[in-house]
Parts: sequence; structure tokens; C-alpha cells
Amino acid sequence: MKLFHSIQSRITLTVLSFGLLMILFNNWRNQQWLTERRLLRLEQEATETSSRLAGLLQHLSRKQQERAAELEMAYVSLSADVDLGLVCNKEGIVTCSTHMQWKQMDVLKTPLADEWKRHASVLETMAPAFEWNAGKTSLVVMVPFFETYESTSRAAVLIRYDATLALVQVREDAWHESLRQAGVLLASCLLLWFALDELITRRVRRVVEILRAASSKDGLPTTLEGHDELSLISKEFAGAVTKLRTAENMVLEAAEQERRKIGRDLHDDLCQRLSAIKMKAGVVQGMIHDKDGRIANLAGQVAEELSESTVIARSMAWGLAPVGIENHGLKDALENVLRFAERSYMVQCSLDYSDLSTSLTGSSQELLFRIAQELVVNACKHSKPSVINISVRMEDSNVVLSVIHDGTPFIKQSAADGSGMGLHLMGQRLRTLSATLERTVEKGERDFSIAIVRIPLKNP
Amino acid sequence: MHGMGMKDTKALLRRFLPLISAVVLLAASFFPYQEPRTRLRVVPGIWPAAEPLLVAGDLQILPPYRFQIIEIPWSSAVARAFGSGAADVAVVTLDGALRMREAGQKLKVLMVLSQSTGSDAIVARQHIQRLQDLKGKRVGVERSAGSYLLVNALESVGMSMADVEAVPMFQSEMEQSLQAGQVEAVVVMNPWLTKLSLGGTHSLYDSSQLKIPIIYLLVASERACDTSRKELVSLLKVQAEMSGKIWGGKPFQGMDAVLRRENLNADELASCLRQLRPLNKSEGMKMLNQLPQLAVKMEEQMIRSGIIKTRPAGTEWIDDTFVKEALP
Repeated sequence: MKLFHSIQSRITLTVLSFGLLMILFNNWRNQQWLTERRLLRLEQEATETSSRLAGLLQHLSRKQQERAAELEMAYVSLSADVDLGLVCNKEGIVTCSTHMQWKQMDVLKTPLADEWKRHASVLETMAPAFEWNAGKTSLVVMVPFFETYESTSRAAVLIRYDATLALVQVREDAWHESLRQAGVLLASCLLLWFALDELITRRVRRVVEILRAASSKDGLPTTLEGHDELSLISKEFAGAVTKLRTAENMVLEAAEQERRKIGRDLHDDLCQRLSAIKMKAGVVQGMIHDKDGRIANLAGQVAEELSESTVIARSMAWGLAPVGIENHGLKDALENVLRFAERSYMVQCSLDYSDLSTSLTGSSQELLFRIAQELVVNACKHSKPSVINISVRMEDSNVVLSVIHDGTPFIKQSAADGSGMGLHLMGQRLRTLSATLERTVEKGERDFSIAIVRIPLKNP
Repeated sequence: MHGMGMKDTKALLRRFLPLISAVVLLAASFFPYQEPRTRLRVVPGIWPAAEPLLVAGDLQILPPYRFQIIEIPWSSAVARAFGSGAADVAVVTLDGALRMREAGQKLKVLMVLSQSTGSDAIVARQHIQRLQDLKGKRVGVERSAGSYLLVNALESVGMSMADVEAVPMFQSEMEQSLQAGQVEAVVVMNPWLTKLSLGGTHSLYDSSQLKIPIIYLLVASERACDTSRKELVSLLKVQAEMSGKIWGGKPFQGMDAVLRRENLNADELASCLRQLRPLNKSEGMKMLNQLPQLAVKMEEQMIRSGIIKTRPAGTEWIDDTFVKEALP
């Protein structure tokens, strides 16, 4: 049933249904037209045959050529539609018949008795009579003539035509033609279905795949070949996604710059001022000599709290700009993360670091750090590892970051559970770096989960 | 595996769908137009040998939507209707069939119906007592139906057609011509023979004296044999069934129509029927097998006497498969 939900099938079924309706309508019209034509032809044949026969019989009877008259009647019966033909004189005696058993019989004892009685006036008026029955299946024709040269010697040709078989033939012809048309329609619809499948359905599916990939995969979406509407849609979509990615990168970069500026301001200004105030508070404490030392003690507390505030402000500054502050760089930042993990999650951590300061810009290093931070914290939170190793190195023309731990492997969760913000941001950062993330599990005595981030240096 | 199977089927369908569609389209486009529905047109002639089919037509045992029984009273007209294609099936004598074949008509003999055992005769006025007395006399004969009997009769007394003056006439004219003295004798067949016999004439020679008898055959056109086998088989079945009833010696349904058609009373009809011997299944089959030999002898005589000029071409003019199918 799913098949009939596609546009391709709906169009085909609509065409098929409409076509079948048209064929049925055409069949009805055809039957009407063919029936009218067939009945008209029968009328013409009846008129011609009976008129010709009456003229001929008038001549033959005057020449007393009874045998020839018999033969003429026999030839009349060759017509497929003639049911019975009689030639009767005024007294109602059958002188000739298409069926020999009625010859010399009283017409009132023949199957045409009623017809003879109905049209008896023909012998008076000497005008031919034609009559269809109510269902237009039987035509009676009666044509008078003079048997001899006497005006009283009147006779008539009485023929009954049966149109039943002819009408059955008409109906069969019409249905046969309709069947043929239905066959052509069916085959055409199959071809239409195939054409729609090739030209539209498959390409629409490809567009859907591109849309899905754009939201879930990295890199720019592909476009459909060709110059049709679907191809234009895919190209426009790819353009829109490119612009969005650029805007996203700019937003991310701006955010990072703002964080760095705030961090630097915190470090260079606020922290320095707090340090200076703390020192002054220490000097003030040494200068106060009161009786019970309460004021000096209060000044000492101020100095201690200022020291703690300085540590907090420095920590905040580091959190906002972890790389580059105090000229420690990416390595120190990563070590800080590992120290945090060791302290907070009791995990044994190690770092293998190759110097990359010349390969990556400051903002790229910061993005790489954020990715490593997300991977480590996520591993500690969800995988419960006992050891974690971070490795940063060059491979070919890629900077490769590996985070290896012995916890449970990563299981991707849906965004609906609300825990996807970190991963979402990590995805954004990966896209900004044009980087790829690959997750594998190395089986052994202990299973190790490995997350590998590859950053191409073409676009560091 | 199931998924893969479905995928394979779909791929296969997609691959062959255009081809299938194109074949269907071509087949539908060139689907032949329906042949006009035609009934099997039967021309039995008006003679007692044809009555089984005529009665079957009267009683609609042969359904009117499948069979058209056409009554043509003259044997020559029957042959013409058959030859022109206006009829598909006819009842003719063996000599008639040979003449039709000589004329190039494509026919097949399907069944041997009956054998004339006195149903055809040479009838003369009272003063003609022997065949020899016909020398130089006028003899009325219907060329298509009586020549064979006349030739045999004359040859039996050492005469030939040249010894008499053959006057062509129809069967229905013979009684009047004989009574009017226009001819001294006539070659007549039933039912007119029965009528004449009651009128004071006498028979000089009849079909029971023939070495090769007059046999009545049911013949069909080759086209009908190819296109209407079912109808022909039904026709033979009905012929055999009705023949049994008519020659059963008892009044039968439709007899009144026969009496009217043949213009006879019941006794005269019984007399007519006695002079025809219907052949049962085995006799008919035996006679059908003997037809080629009988035909050769008859052809020789007919050529010798000038009734036909050449031996009809072709040998495949007898088809016993129909009768074998109809009367297994």
C-alpha cells in the first residue's frame, strides 16, 4: 500500500483511472453510434431488397415464372438478418417463401400472421410499410405489387428482419475495441510510471538524501546534475547551506574572539588589580597596631579573600581563553584538561603531544582544544574509564587528535533527550575546521574506544 | 535476506518494466480487430436426404445464433451458393460433389448421409415401356442432379446420351412437362418421384440398379473446416441424431413441417424415406473410406459421357476427423 503514497504512483493511477473512464464513455458512444449505423443499414437493405423483390416478382408472376420467383426468395434468405420472407396474394395464400414449409399455406397460419394483419391496409393503399418493434430488434417490411395486369390482382412481399445478432455483434465490436484501448492505456501507464520513476521519483529521493545529509553530515551538500527544476532546487539548497556554514563559522569565530578578549581583560586587568589590592591589603595589615588586633585581623581576611578572588578570576580567564594566555599554548591547555579529569573523575591521564604551533592558527588551536575537552569530559561522564590518553600529531597533511579510553563505547543518543548540546557544538566546530570525526573500538584484553579527529591543513 | 530479496526483485522489475511495457503496448496496438461473428451457413437443399438438418433448423436444435439454415430448392443453385462462398455447408450427391470439384470449388466431404435405393428414377409415359424406346425421344433431366442416372441407364442397354434428346428442366417442372407431352420421360427424384408415381407413370430405371449408387454427402468449404470446427462437429452430431428419428418409422417432432415442405402426406413421406437408406456410423465410415475408389470410377464414366471434362485436381477432399470427433 506504501507504493500508492508516492506522487509517481498517484499520477499514474490518476491517468489510468481517467483513461478507463474515457474508454468506458467512448465505449458507450461507440455502441450508440454503431447501433444506429447498423440499424440504418438494415433499414436500407430491407427497403432495397423488398422493393427490388416486389418489382421482380411483379414481372415474374406476369410471365408465370414461378421457379425464378422461388429462386429469388431463396437468395433473399442468404441475408444473415432475414428471419422469414413470404410472398402472399390478396387472399392471404403464400405463393413463395424463404422457408418452403409455408408455401401454399394461409399466411394467418404462418409466423408472420400478426404482421400481415397489422399491415393488411398496404394492399389497399399500395404504399409500402416499415415497422420496428419496441426494442428495435425486429423490422418488418411489407411492399405491395400487382400479380397480373389487373388492378385487383394485388400481392405483397412480407419480410421480417431480426437485428438481434447484428446488435450483439455491435456490442462485441465495441467491447473488443475498448479492450484494445485499455491494453494500450495500461501499457502507456506502465511506461509513464517508469518515466516518472526515472525522471522525478529517483531525483526527488536524491534531493531528500541531500537534505538529510546536509543536517547530519559534514562538508558541503552535493547537487543534482542537469538543468531541471529539481537540479535548481539542489543547487539553491547547496548555496544556502554554504552561506549558513559561513555565517555559522563567523559567529563561532566572533564568539571565540569575544571570549578570548574577555579572558584576556580578566587576566591582564582585573587579576592584576586584584593582586595589587591584595598586596596593599597585606601592607595595611602590617601597619595597623590596635589594642586587640581586630582591625589588623580584618585587613588580613580582606587580603586572603582578595587572593582567592584573584585565583577565581584567573581560572575564569583561563576558561574563556585557555590557549595563548600567559603564552602556555595548546599543550598546557590540554594538560590542564587532563589534570581536571584526574582530579574530578579519578582517571589516570596521559598526553602525547607533537608541537603544532606552526601548523594551526590560534583560533584553530582553540577549536581543537574545545573538541578535545568535549571528548574527554564526555568520556569521563558517560563511559567511566580508568585511563585516558590524548594524542596530538601530524599524519600526512592532517593534524590528528586521538582520544583513547578504556570505558564503555560511545553510543549516539537522540537530540530529544536534551543531552546533545555539547555534541552539537562539537559538530559545528568540526565543520568550521572542515574536520572529520571517526569513532572505533579496538578489541583486546581490554576494549579501547578511540575517537579520531582529522583536520586537513588546507583549511586549518 | 528478505530485504535483499525484495530489493533484487524491485531492481529486476525496474530493469524489465520498460521492455514489458513496450511489448504490452505493441501487442495492444496491433491487437487484431475482431472477426465479424458469422453463423455457419448451411444449404441442405430441398430433398428428403436433407430433412434431418432442415428439421433440426425448424426445431432450433441447431441454435439460430450459430447456424443459418438457408433453403434453396434447386441443386444447381445450391452448388452455386456454395461455390460463391454464400454457404459453408451443403448436402450434395457424390456426382454433384465431383462436378463442384471439377469447377474448382474447395470442399471437403465430412460425412456420408444416405444412399439412394430407388429415390431417383427415369419415369416415362405409358407408351414407353423400355429404355430402348427412348431412342430419339425427348427426356427431361436436371443437369446437375439427373445426368449420372440417365447415362448409367442408357449405358445399361448399350445406348449413350447421343441417342436421346436431353431437355434441361427443373424437378418441379417435370410433372407438368410430362403430362403435357413436352417430354416422353424424365429423370426425377423424390419427392417429385412419389407424386409422379401416383399419376399413372411408370419407372424404367431407378437408382437401386446402379453399380455405383447415388450417395448423399455432407460437404463443407475448406475455410469453414478451418474456422468452424466446433460448429461442424455439432452439425454432424445433430444430423446423426435427427436421421435416427426421421428414419425411425414413427411420427417425429417437426414432421408436419416436413410434410408441408415436401408437399407430401404421411404415407407418401414414408414411401420417400423407404427409397433412401440412411447409413449408420460404421456404414458411413466404411463408405467414406471407399469414396476415393468410387469417385475414380464415377469420374471415368462422367468424363466418358461428357458430364465432366477433366478429372478434378487434388486428393485431400475427404476429411473423416470431423465424423470421428462427432461420433466417437
